[in-house]
Amino acid sequence: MPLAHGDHGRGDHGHGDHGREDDAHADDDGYEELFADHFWGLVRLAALLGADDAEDVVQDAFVRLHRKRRTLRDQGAALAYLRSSVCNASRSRLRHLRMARRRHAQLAPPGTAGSAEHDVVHGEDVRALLAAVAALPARQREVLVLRYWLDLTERETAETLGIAVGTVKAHGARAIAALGRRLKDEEDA
Amino acid sequence: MNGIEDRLRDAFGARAEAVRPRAGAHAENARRLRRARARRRVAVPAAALATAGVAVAATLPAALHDDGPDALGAAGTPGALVDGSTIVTIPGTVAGGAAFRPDAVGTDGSVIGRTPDRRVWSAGPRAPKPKDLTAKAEGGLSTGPGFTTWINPGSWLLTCRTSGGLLRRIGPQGTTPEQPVLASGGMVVASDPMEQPWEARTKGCGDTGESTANHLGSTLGVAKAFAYPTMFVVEPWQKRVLREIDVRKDRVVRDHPLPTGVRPVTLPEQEVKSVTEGDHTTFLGGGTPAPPEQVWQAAANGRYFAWAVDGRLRIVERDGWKSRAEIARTPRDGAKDEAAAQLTAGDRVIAYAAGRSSTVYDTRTGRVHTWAGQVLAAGGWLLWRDGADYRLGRIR
Repeated sequence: MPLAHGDHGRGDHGHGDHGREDDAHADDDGYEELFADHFWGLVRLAALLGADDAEDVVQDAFVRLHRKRRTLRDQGAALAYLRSSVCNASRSRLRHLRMARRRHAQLAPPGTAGSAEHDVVHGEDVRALLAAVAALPARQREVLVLRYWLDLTERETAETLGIAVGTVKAHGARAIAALGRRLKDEEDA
Repeated sequence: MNGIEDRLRDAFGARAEAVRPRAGAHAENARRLRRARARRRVAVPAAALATAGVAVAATLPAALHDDGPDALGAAGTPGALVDGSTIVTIPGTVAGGAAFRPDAVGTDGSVIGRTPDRRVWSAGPRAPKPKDLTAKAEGGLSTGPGFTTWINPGSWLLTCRTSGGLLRRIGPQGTTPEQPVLASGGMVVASDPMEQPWEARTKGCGDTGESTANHLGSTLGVAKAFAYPTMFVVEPWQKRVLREIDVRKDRVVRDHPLPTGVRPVTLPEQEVKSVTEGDHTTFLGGGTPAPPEQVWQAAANGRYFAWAVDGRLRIVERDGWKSRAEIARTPRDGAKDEAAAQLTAGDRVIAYAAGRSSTVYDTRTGRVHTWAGQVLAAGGWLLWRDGADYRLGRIR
């Protein structure tokens, strides 16, 4: 909790804006705090999973959570629910996006089809790796993102994705092997 | 961990960093919740609807207000310093219930700290839950993009750990827990047990480092602050100066007098008593004891140098060494406060944490904030104690 103004020498004195301001409404079972703490982190997760509109995915996930918030036992469970929700929604979006691209490619004249995903320009090796990850099956990509970006354990990854731990291991191993082969092929080319 | 896994971490981190928070997310969420409630109410037959064709406006709950992002900023941010949409909560206890106390924050928002049993834990904006690094540390904790450092208990070697879990030793001659290990711009600097500064690159923890070359042929001193490429080294014994050393060239670029309040160190005169019997002389020792070493802290960013000694925080502009602020604190626990104090400088904020409170100086506005809890700053990040937990967020 904030203190009152301390002793100050030269320089402007601190203003009164310390710590928690009075909220006009009661915290909605911790929902607002959860939103403040985790919204943008989950948007980053959705972006890494390939969602075309990551903010929209996460907004929907929070709206669904809001309906269930009283049935979730604590914030940890709520966060796990949100992550699962974001993973599932991103996978659906990706499937929808691929179908839409396929339809667009069939209808559009030659030369007009383009990439819908815009990777941020970093080093060439980073771009190559992200492109290789984007080419993986959705499940393998999810496992890599949860394991190596969120630093979840295999068990936590399994719980988030609703699959067995053994399946997480298998997907992870296949993904790493596929990346290794693809990157080696590119280096040799 | 193999190379691909390390590269994945870096690539995902780079991609995630490109997602920048923007205003309006909370307001959009509030709108969606109102729409969802309105849809549910319209779908449920209401007893109040007496006849078909009568339109009844659904009353919306007043639980949420469309106040914009600032409304959520009320939930624990230290004033207007932090972008509320970037805040994560780092639990103040780890699995098992032990209290977690941060020792350092990195310029990438990474956090490293310890529990009372000296176990080392790391956390960060993407993974706020402290992660056990399965090591113990007596000091030397620092963190930054892709690395953390610490000194194992009873050791003088500095361990460097990559984000992939690889452990290496860095530093040509180690360091001691009493001296700070300072990270900036892809390097760490520290002082070896002989109180000579050294520097090492942190990428992959692969650089053993080298002692800062001594072109002047004299003792350089102890590294007290570092804002790449400038290391601030204090030599309070003979020259009694504060040196600015450019680590790219290993050259002293500027000397200053000792900072105000920092006392020169005078070696005590020894009064040696002896007894001689025949050819044998026995020295009985004696003499005046050395004065207790003065404890003070320093920090720097690209524009300011700050130091805290004897309960006063002083800040000068590096260009011209002109005084910018002088803030007196009243330590609640006296000398004990100052010994365990932490002074950190981010790009905009300088934070001095001592005892149960922190003084936070905003270099942009000149305002001074006081916070009842630990505050640490690094790069564009601010970490502060909030109740039982910690909050980490990007400075506006």
